[in-house]
Amino acid sequence: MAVAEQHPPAAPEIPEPHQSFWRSLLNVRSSAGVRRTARVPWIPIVIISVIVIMAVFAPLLAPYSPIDQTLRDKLLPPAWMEGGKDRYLLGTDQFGRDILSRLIYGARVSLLVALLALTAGGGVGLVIGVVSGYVGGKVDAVLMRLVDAAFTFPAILFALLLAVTMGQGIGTLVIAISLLLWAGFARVIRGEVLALRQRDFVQLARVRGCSSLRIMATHIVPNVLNTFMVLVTLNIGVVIIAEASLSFLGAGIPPPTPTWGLMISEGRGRIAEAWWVALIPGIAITLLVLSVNLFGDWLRDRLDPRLRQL
Amino acid sequence: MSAAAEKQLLRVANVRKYFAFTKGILFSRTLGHVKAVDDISFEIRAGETLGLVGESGCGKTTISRMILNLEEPTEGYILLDDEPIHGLEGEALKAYRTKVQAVFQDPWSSLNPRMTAGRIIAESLIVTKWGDKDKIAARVAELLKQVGLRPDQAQQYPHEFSGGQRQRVALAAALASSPKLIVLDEPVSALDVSIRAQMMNLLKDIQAERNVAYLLVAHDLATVRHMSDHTVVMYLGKIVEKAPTQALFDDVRHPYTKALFSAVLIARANQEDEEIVLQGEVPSPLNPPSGCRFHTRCPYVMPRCSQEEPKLRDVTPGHAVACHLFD
Repeated sequence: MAVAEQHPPAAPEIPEPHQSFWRSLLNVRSSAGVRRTARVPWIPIVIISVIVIMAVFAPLLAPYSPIDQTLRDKLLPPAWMEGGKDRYLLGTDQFGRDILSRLIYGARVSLLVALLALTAGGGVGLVIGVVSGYVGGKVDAVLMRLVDAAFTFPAILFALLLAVTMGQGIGTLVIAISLLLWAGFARVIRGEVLALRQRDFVQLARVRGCSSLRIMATHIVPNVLNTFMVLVTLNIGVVIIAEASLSFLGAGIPPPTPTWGLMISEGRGRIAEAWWVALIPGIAITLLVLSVNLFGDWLRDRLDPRLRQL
Repeated sequence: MSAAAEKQLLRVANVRKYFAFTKGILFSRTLGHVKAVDDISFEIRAGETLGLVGESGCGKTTISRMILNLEEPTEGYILLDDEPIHGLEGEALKAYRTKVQAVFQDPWSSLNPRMTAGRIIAESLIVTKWGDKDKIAARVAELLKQVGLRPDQAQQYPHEFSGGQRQRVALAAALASSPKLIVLDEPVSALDVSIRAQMMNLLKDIQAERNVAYLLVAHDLATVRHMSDHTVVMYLGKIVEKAPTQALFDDVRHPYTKALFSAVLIARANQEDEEIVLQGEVPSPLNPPSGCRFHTRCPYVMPRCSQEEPKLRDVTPGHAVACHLFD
C-alpha cells in the first residue's frame, strides 16, 4: 500500500542515465544525481535464497556429518585442485571433516542467531523508540540517555563477559547481540515517531477519543513498520558478522558445532598451507552479508514513499 | 440566565493560554511566556457557525486546540452545555470527545495512510464501542453517502482519493459520533479553488440537516463571509472585533479589521472605506506591545494607545470593538 506524504509532485521526466553494470548492481546514485528506484536485486535474492534453503534442509543436503572426523583425509584441498578428492567438493579441515557439510550446517547457526537476535533486539528497540518518541518529555530524555549509554558500551567485551558467566551457547550469543542492536533501532524509530506525532491524523486520533496506547498501536506502529523492516534487513549483516566474530573469539557456540566464524578461527593457523579451510567460510560470510545489504538498500528505496510511483 | 444564553452551546470565558518558554529538560527553568491567547471570550450557539479570523500566530489554532481539549487553558474556562470541559477524565472525557470533533486543514496529513477510509471514519465508533461490526459498517456507508462519496469507497486507502475527496472522508470521520460542534481549522484553504465552493456548500447542507455548530478557523475572509453567522477577529492573542457577520462586513470598525479587508478584494456595499496597508511584521507574542497591541502598526495611533489597553465594548448592539477610536 502506498503512502503519500504530500501532494504527489508531478513526476519530472527523468532521462534514463547511462549506468554501468557495476553502478546499477551497487545501486548508487546515477550520474544525474537523481536517485532512481533501483531494479530488483536478483543476484542477492538468489544468494540469500540458496543460503536459507541450505540452512533449512541441512540434513538432507550435506553429504557428510559436519562433526565426524576422518583423520586420514585431513586437509584435503577442494576437488578441482591437485590432490583433491571428488568426495570432498570443498576439501577438508585439519580433522578431516568435510568443509561443504560444515558450511551447510553452519548456515543454520548464523541464520538462527540472526533471526532470534533481530526479533529480540529489534523488538525491544521498536517498543522503546515508539514510547520514547510518542510520550516525549522526561521519559524520552531518560530513554535516550540509556540509548547513548548503550552505544558507548563495548559490545564484544560484554559478550565475552556473558560467555564467561553464563557459559557459551546460542542463548548467550543472542542476548549479547540483542544488546548490541536495540539502541540503534530505538534511536532511528524514535526519530520517525517524532515526525509522525506532529501529523494531523495522530492529533485527530486523540480528538476521536483514542487512548495513548491505542494511538501507538494503531496509528504509530503501522507507520514505522517500513522503517523497521529496512532496519532489520540492514542489520542482518551486522548480526552475522557479530556471531562470526564472537565464535572466532571463542565466546559464541562451542566447538565442534560448526559455525562460519568458528571455521575461520580454526583455519587461520594453517592459512599458508591450507587456505581453503578459512577462506571458504569467509567467502560465504562476505557473500551473505553483501547480498543482505544490497537487498536492504533496495527495500529501503522501494518502501520510501517519495520514490514510489502512485 | 437569560433565554438567549440558554441556547449557547459553547462558552469561552476569559481564557488565557501562556506557553512557558523553558530551557533544559530534566531541570528546566522558565525564561518567559508566550501569550498565545490573552483573555478571550465568545459564545457559539447550537447550530450556528462562528468564524475566527486573524493572521497566522494570532492564537486561532491555540483556541481551537483548547476547545478540542488538546490543551488546558492557563486561566479562564470553556463550557459546553454549561459544563466545564477541562479536567475531565475517563468516561466523561470520552463522552466529551463524541460531542466535539474536528476537521483540519491539510487532507494529506489528516488521514492515516495505513488505514482504509472506512476504518478512519469508524474510528470514534470503535473507540466508544458504539456497536458491532455490521452496525458500524452500515453507519460508515451512510456517512460516506452523506458527504457525497460512494459506500464502496470505504475499502480505499487515502492515497487513492483526491484532495477534495480526502477532505470529505475527514468530514465523514468527524461526523461519525454525531457531534454538536465541529472545529473546522481552515477546512477549504488547502483545496483547489474550483472545489472550495462544493466543500463549503456540503458543510452548510450538513449543518442544516444535523443542527451541528461549527467553529470556523480561517484567514480567508470570503470563506468566513459565506459560512459564518458571527465573526471574531483576533490580533496577537486578543479579540479586536466581534460582530454578526453581516454587520461586520457592512460596517468594519477596527483599523486592523479594515487592514484585513484592504488586503483582499471583497465586494462590499460601502466601498468608500480608505485602504490600509500594514507596515512591518507582527510583534512577537513573547513580548507584546504595551497598551493596545496593534498600536505599533495602526495608522490612527494616538498617545494613549501605547499606555492604556482598550476594552472590547459594543459600539452598536452586538457589534463589539476594542479600540480607543470608539470611546
